Amino acid sequence: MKEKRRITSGKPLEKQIKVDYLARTEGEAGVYALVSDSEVKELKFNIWEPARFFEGFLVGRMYYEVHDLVSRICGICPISHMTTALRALEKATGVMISEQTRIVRHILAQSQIASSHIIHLYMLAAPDYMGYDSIIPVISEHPDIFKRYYRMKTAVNKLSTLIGGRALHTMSVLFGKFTRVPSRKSFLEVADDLKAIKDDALETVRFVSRLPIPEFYSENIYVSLKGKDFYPINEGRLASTSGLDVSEDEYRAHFTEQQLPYTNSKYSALNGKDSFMVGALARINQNFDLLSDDAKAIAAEVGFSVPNHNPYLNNLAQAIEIVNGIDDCINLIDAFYPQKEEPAFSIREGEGGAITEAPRGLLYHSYRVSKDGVIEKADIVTPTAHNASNVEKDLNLLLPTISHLGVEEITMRCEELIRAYDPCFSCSVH
Amino acid sequence: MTANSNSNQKVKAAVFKFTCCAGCQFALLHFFDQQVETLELLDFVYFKMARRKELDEPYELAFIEGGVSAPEHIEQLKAIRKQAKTLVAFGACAAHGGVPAIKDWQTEIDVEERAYPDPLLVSSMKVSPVDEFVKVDHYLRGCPIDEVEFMEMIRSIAADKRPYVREHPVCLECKLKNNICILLMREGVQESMCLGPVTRGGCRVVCTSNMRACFGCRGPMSNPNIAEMVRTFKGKGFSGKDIEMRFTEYAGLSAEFREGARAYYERKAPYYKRKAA
Ligand code: SF4
Ligand code: SF4
Ligand code: SF4
Repeated sequence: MKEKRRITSGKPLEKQIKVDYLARTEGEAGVYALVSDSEVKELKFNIWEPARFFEGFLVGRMYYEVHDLVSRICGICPISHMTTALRALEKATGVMISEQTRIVRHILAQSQIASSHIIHLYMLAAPDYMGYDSIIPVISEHPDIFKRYYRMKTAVNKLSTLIGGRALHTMSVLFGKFTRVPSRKSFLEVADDLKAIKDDALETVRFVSRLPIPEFYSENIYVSLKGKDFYPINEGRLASTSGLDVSEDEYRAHFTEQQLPYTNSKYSALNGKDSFMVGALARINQNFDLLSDDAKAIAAEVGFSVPNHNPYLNNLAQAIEIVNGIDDCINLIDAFYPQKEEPAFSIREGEGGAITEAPRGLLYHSYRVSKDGVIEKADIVTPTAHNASNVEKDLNLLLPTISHLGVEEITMRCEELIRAYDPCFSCSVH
Repeated sequence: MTANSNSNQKVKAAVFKFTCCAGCQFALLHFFDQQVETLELLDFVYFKMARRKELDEPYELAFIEGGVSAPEHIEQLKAIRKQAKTLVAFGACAAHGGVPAIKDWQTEIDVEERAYPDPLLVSSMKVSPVDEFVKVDHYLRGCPIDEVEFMEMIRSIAADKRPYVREHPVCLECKLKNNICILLMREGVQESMCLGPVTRGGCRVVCTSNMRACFGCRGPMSNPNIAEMVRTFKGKGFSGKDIEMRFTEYAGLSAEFREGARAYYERKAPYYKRKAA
């Protein structure tokens, strides 16, 4: 971070905001801005994460390994990449999965979303508002907060581990099925753990609502899946607050990507021009009615209502989603009686795409598979690529309103805004 | 540093990320709360995912996460090597190139063009493991790293002892756990193609304990019998393509796994070439 002021005759005071490497986000990106009075002269959100070319090297690989490979796009939301790829591949090859597999994948995805939100809120976002540079001082100075965080994370990770084999880069997930499905007894045990952290989750919503989150209004187009009977995670209609309401198969007819010279992430646009926001706030803005009763009640208690147009409050939306996710898992587990299944299937050639809600928002995968099961084409668009353009839009809106502050404070506000989006730069440059 | 002086002195550590999914640092965040005592041996002076702090003080221990995939990475790595007393390759990507190194098996420009309209705007080259450019003192293998092995290594480094290096295959730990052998018992490609006999142990067999065949994420053990592994796979009816895929997923750049993949690769051009012919 550097402070540089230039005063030349007749010209207003210019402030330069420069962060080379944003801290407490996933992956590598920086931001550069030049502000003069209340005008943004230059703005660059530069995602310099090294490119890995997943869409390139997946071509020539086999259909049965793709979900494992793409899970290595992201260390925080591997389950989302895995699930989305599997749904796309199963669609492409004409393979039907059992209802049981569908439910278990849903619970697994919910556990990952909760875990990702918990870590984002406590470890990555909250320290800004509490005046720390990391969570480490919180351990000794606010042990109650740290312990709450720890209890919650332990419980949801236990659920991911029960289903997936471990919390990170799960290995029990296969094309079309699971290697094994846990017993009802072990599911019920974890459900008890989830019940035990329910109060912690509610307290988290209150905790986040009390953080000094800036007032900021930015009316965005929100894009997410839209559910009919349940809060959408792994499936739903593709909808936006600007009136889009289509099946996931029509994704490419509405969303395009563009490569820019100063960043390694491609930027996404709706109908060729609009920026939009994805993630917890977008989901809640479009699916509030489908939240669990307790999630709705706590939202009301802390005064959160939809539509909400403060992107900083994506943090609060995440906290509310944790409550919803826990309720969802408890209910599903309650009604779940695992059966032994040995699904058999044969694949055909074809092409297919799928969309799911990753912790950070809309995630799209699409593949073409040959009759021998070899990948011929891969197309992946991640939540942070969807959001990238909107982050720039919001920074452009924010900067003029805070340009009177000192450079250090402006920088902090910009960083907080970017962190509120919970960006994952590794995902965006896959 | 001697074993005596460190009782009151923490090891200054820095975490650097190159080409990877950041899952290994993320795993480290996971350990933070469960392993407070061990982690107290370290002082993370630079750890961007956890801490808003620039690199402005010296460090002794460097964790390198991710492979090398751009010219600028090489200079950065060399500078880190100069500063660090101990350099640890952190995860499969750093140790063997990991999943991103799959692209090394194909023509670079073909791969890049499939992902970007204009690849020239993106700085990139073939992926290499860290030890291609600098000396690595210790390896934490696996995709992601294993918690127990990590803690063990931290304690060894803090006590100025050489960490325990596992030379044995995954099979050994699998047998000790009394797991049913997937390679012998199960059928179908994904289910039974277990690389355990040639893969380095130390992961506490998380995969085979969950009915999943080992996919070799920790890379080759010492002196693996690759030829026999390939013969076994062929005997079970797996195609050359399946065998090539299995050996090139996580540690395909290692000489040993390369040999396994080549058993097929050299006889037949890879898919993208066949298609063009
Ligand atoms: S080794 Fe695996 S988990 Fe670790 S950074 Fe590489 S891809 Fe991610
Ligand atoms: S399951 Fe795999 S690791 Fe275990 S004994 Fe069999 S071959 Fe070895
Ligand atoms: S069993 Fe094999 S693939 Fe699984 S963690 Fe161990 S080495 Fe990696």
